[in-house]
Amino acid sequence: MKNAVRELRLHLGWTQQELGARVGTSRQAIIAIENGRFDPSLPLAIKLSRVLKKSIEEIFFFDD
Amino acid sequence: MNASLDPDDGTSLLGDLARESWKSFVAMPRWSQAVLVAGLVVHVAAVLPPLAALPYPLIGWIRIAAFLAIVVGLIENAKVLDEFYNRVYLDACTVSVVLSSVIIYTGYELGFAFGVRVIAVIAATFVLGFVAAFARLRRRA
Repeated sequence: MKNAVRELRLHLGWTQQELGARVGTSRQAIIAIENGRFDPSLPLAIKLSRVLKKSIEEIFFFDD
Repeated sequence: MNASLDPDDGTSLLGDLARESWKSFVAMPRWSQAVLVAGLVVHVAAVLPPLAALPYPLIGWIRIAAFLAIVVGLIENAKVLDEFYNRVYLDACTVSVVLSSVIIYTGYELGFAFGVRVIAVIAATFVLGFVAAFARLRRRA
């Protein structure tokens, strides 16, 4: 699964540490999500959606 | 992505692992920190004089208690980790079960008596699996 977390985070000017703190997870989790190695749980995806102010579908999408 | 736009890239694997391990230790309840540290200290001390000179089965029970303290501490440590680290733990356990069973079975069939060192095999394969899973999940897909 692909995602736009890195682009959205950089657009907001946040570090991975800052984004992790805002959604209550580690920087390593953000690194793994941005690198497409780790799909977050639904609760974490919803938190990301809220802080990044985008719908889940706009953040996470299949690589067709 | 241009690296200059993303200062978070390029951090060292072992540095991050050490930093996050310390953060997870700090996040543990005080009692579990004490149990983990006590278990580690006593387990090391139990193979050195003067504790190592204690008679059996007393020294055996001391080592068992220290080992159980380490296990309890590590379980409490796992509880404070986020879902990313839970995934790393799960992957490490998988690697450890597969690899250690092959090593132990091979050793048994070839007549090598691991004895208590079987614990070292399991622990070593878990650590190997943990570092490998941590590195794999950080790498770009």
